[in-house]
Amino acid sequence: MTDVQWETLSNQGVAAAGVVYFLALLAYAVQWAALRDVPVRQAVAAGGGAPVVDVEVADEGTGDRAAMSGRLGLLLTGIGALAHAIALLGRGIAADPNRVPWGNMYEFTLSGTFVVVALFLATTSRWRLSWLGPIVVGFVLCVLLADVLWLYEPVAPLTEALESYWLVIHVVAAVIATGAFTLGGITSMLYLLKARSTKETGYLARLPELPALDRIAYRMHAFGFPVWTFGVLISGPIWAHQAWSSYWNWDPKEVWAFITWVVYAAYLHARATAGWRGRNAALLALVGVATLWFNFIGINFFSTTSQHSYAKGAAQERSVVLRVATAPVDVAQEVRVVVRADHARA
Amino acid sequence: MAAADRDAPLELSGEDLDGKPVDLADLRGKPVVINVWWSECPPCRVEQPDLNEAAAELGDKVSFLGLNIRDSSAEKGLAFTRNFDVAYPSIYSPDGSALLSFAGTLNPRSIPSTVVLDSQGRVAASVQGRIPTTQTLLSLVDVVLGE
Amino acid sequence: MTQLDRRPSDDRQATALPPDLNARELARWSWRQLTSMRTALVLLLLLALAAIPGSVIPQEDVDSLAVSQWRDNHPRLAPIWDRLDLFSVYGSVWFSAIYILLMISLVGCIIPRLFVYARALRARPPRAPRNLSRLPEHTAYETDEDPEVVLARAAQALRRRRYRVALDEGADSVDAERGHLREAGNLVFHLAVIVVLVGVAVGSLFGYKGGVIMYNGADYGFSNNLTQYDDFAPGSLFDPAVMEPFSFSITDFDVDWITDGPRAGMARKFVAHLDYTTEPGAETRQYDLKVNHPLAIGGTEVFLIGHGYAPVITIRDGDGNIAQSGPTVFLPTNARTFESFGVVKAPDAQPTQIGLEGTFYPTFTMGKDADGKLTMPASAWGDALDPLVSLNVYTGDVGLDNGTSASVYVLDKSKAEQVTKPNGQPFRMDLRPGESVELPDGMGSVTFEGLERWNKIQISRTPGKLVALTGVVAALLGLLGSLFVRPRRLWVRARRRDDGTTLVEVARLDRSSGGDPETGRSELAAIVAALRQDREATP
Repeated sequence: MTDVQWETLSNQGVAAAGVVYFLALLAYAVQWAALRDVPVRQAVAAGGGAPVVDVEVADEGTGDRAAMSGRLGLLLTGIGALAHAIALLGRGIAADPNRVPWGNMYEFTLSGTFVVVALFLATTSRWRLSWLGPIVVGFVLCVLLADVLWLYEPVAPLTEALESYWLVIHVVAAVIATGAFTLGGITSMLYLLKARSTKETGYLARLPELPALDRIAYRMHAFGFPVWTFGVLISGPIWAHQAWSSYWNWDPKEVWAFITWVVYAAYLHARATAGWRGRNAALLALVGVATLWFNFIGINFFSTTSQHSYAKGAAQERSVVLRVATAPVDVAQEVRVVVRADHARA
Repeated sequence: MAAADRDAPLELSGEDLDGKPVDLADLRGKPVVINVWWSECPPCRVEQPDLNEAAAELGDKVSFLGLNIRDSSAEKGLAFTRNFDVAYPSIYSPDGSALLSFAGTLNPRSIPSTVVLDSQGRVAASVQGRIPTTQTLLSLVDVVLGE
Repeated sequence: MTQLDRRPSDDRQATALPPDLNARELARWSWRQLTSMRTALVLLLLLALAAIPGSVIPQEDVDSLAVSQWRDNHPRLAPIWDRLDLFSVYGSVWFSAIYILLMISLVGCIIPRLFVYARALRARPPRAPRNLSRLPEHTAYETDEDPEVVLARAAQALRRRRYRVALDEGADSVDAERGHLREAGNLVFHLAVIVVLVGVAVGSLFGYKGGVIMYNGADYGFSNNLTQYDDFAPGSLFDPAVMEPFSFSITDFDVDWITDGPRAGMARKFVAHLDYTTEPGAETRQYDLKVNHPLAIGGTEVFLIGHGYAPVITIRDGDGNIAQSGPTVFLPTNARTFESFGVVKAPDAQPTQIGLEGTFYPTFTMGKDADGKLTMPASAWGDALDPLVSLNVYTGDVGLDNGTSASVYVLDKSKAEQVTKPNGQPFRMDLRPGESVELPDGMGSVTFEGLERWNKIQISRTPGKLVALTGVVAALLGLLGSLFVRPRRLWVRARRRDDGTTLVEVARLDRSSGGDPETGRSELAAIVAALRQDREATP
């Protein structure tokens, strides 16, 4: 296949993924609509808080329909993820030379949403997260739509500074952590909504008990945090050191990655030592996910000097030009350096 | 810097702006004043008349040597020496490699810089940046001459 | 019960100010406040908050050009921002204050915990609470075996499950505990954070970072000496004597221009071929310097950052002498087409100084508007296919004679006068390589001899970077321990009841956050199964 064909395949893959996710969303909608008026049977399991979303309802017919459409939703999510993966693969192969499919915002978003779905699929049966399905699929669908509408860019080779295997490592870690934090954020949001809700029926009532939601959110964050640490504070600086000569530049993107790190550190710290479970922890998690997504999208519009400004075509080099232009030969400055150094030695 | 503390004599040679060989070793026996400059450096342009004055005042007692760095061509340096009537030669070292011989001593660290060598070619004093007045340079040289 | 739930760290909570206190108590109280968990938490969040302004307001260290533009646009705010250090947030007193307090808080918290941990390592697992059935995770079964037999088997089973086990003579319970690595990971993480900060501090205090623009060609070179840098940012304790005396020159520079596709015109695969020596007199070695592939010489590293064109322009003055020759750096104003701006100064031209200012087009073209009319000159391409320089001429004082520093990339026109044609229009010349133009009024002539290239090279020395790296890797490992090791205690009690049977109680206490009741239940079940199965195996 030629590069152009691969690119077409990638675009078709995105479109197919979008359609299938939409169908999955419909299936989930049918499932939850069927369960809408059915009161939740209280959990009786010892220890309390075990997720009891498995469809056990009085009316057999409703139950079957709900269970069917729930399984269908999951299946469709899986098929969508497959198309999503093909889209990513095509994107990477379409580039000449072949490369990892995260060279610009469009591709990064494509990868990030894929990781969200993949993490969901990987954990759904183990942690009984089937209730998270509609939210995840809805979220991914919206983000993909926005991605295609506003961030689309044709396949292009990477700018020079991005050509490093550290790019692969750094971005993989960042994307995986972003996916985990996003799932954690969604769970925390649901926690807060459920904590306020008093309804006996409907989606919120069918979510796992609050302690279970809290625990699932914690696990997502506990998984994401080390990955984020590795991506942002280890592989990122190593790469920055190779490309720009210093491992930490206080570049706006770095600053916000650091802020995100600090917020999640505070989240874990608060849970571990100050006993902040539940509401406070969920609020902190939402702050964290807000800084994460602001860093991912928002900061690009606030700062033009970011060296991560791959949002626009040749910005990588533009920043290089800017840096050159800021470096006039300043004799006075050199003299100042010398004077200070002499003092230090005296 | 007291005579006893000084480092080994400086080894420095190169070509001057006209392409003629210059070797510091040929200037031993007299103190040498080395001035680091380039033509587009404003403080260098301001201090050059002071250096000329000092060179004229000291006459044969002291040798002067310029060290041109950073100028993109020897011609450009020559335009400067012509314009300012510089009477002494300058080694042309656009990449600054000549300055590496000073490593570990009173290393010229800014443009301009002025270094005074004693009669054995050892670094005795240095001024980073523009020399404040002709008199400053003369008194530095006097100390070295008086040894 | 509550006693069991508490961990060493929980002892350090903020407390209310005692009502009457002397200086010593006040100090003690302040220390407790500072090292309390809640304060650490507040400081952490404060650190996040304090980092925000630096990402929105341009920073002096990151982009001083943006700072000066910002100053020009906000003349009222700039002095206030200056007073608040908002142009250098990360070096400011208040930012440092937060992280130094955080560090003190961290040390104050971690040192007592080290001792607690050391004691806990040696201590025996805590004795079983009186009433095991009050623990959230517990189970029980009846058997007709002797309690001693059950307990001995329980001790064995728990040891197999990597518990530390204590079974006292005559006691009615086995006490077991595992998962000490969690607190170890915790401590390692916190200590490693300090190591990272030390590494970073060493780098920023003793290191330096500088840039230089170098012409390509063996005739031009760089020697690692302060005078050779275009910009230089030393740490506050930097000593120039540590600069390694290497030198290098760029013998050749390769670049690939993409000729089609969406990024057509983009330059790729930059390679600067270096000849370098590590010290004067050492043998010359070669290195192909590429983006992302720095050259390390001793503790110093050399990076390829950018590239551009340097037109070779000769100015002959009115007396016929060469007043300027050799290449001049033109800085790209457009990263795609490499349209570049530059200034050539001939301060020693006679009878009058000459300054040139203008634009270099690597592939000259006339831009067209929508109607197809020719509009502005432009560069079609970054590659030098049809190079042209377009220059305006200034005369008088080009701004190098007042002794204050001046940028080589800017022509100070405050005392210079633009040369005009007889009709009053600016005298502009468009030169292709080899072309020459006579200046009016016998000022001399300008020749565009040809084209050289330059590279922007960044040189930095960052001592302590390996310390920082080691620290951050250790922090990550510690973090993994503290997040995923689950410390827990387990007790098995066997008591003979009045009716002659033995009641075996098993209880478990998960001491980590986020523990799953499911795993607790299954571990209990597994242990009970092990106790009973063993019995069947030994009739």
